[in-house]
Amino acid sequence: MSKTIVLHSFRGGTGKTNTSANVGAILARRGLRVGVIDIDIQSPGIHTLFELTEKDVKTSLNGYLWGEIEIEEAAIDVTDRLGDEAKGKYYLIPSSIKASDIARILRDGYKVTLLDDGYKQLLGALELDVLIVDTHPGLNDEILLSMAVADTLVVLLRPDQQDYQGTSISMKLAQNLEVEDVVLLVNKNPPLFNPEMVKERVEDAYKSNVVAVLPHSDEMLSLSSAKLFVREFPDHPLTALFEKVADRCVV
Amino acid sequence: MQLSQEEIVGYLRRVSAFKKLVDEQAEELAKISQVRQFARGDELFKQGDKNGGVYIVVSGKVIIERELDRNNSSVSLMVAKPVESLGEMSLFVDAPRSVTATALENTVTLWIDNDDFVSFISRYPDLLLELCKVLSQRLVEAYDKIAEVTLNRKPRELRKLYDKLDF
Ligand SMILES: Nc1ncnc2c1ncn2[C@@H]1O[C@H](COP(=O)(O)OP(=O)(O)OP(=O)(O)O)[C@@H](O)[C@H]1O
Ligand SMILES: [Mg+2]
Repeated sequence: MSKTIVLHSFRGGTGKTNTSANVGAILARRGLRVGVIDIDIQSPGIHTLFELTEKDVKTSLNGYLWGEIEIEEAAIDVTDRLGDEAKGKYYLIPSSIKASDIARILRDGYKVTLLDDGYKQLLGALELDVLIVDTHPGLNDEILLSMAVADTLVVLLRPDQQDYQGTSISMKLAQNLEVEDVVLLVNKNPPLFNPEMVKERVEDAYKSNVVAVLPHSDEMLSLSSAKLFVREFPDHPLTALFEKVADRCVV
Repeated sequence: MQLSQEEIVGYLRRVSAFKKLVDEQAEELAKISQVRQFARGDELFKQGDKNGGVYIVVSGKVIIERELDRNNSSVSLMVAKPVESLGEMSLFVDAPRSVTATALENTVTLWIDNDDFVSFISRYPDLLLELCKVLSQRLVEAYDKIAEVTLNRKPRELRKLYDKLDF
């Protein structure tokens, strides 16, 4: 098995990054070889969940997109972040968090079409079972290219009118790009909303399956993207739901 | 290289902006023209330069490029060949050169100082009109170039994907 899973949301802050990192962690713990790549080049962030700082990130996706390195040279082994019981491997391919690199990206751009070759190369070189792609919110070149090669596209949304409207654009896009497998993931469901009803409503609106309705969680919020939730709260109901998302991602 | 007055007149007459030159005008223009030679790789003028003057290529080739700030790159705009003129933009715009002109091979040009040229041409409205035509043509070419550059901005793989977005 070798799959590319792309997480996307039309609007920002839906939980793409936290979901990517946690679902990847679950799969790696189960014994899979997992890579998670941050293609939010303008506003990278996933490294914080692995407790990495600027000086830990020596090579990055940026270098590959500038034609300076092979993409696998940017991979950081983060398997130790999963605890002792991890059976698989977990790699992070970060975007650079150096201000000068971000400035260079903004000024000079980069060869975005290297991205889909990069995914293939990563799957091969690191012998990955799963590559999870964490994206910038909204639509841009990277998202389009990534959607076009996704085996599974996970579209995240909150139960919110702005998210609902935006998501319909994303779903239409996925359809036009003939993405094989699209699932919806509702996050930050407030306690007042019945998750079953939310699921039904969303499925009805988009004629697609909702893989899970993740509740708003104060514990998640309090982690402030500084740690992996599934590691810190293994018995939390949200962890069980992340497991469910992980199951669906590898079918 | 030395050029006789007659030879200079001959070259000037073949320049498209000067098609309508009558004999006295051609001679007058030849008098204010200087021969300037460049070896391959020499710059006739550089983007940002303030020296104003028009060049007419007699032999050789000159590439006109717009230099970009980023990593020493440049966009080539045109190559001027014999009896084509370049640098006319500086005639009417009091601004530094917007492009760099470099000899692609050993090149001989005629050079006319801006002030001399303006005082010459302002006395002959039909010559001025002819020059306007040439400049307008350059503008059309520049628009074509913009269209070309903009169209090709997205790589082909991406354009294919964007084409599918027609909701
Ligand atoms: N279920 C949840 N309950 C409470 N807070 C959450 C939940 N999921 C995510 N968050 C919080 O929401 C914020 C945004 O999450 P995250 O960075 O994962 O979203 P994102 O979609 O990647 O954002 P962006 O679009 O900016 O990349 C973070 O502070 C995170 O801790
Ligand atoms: Mg994010």
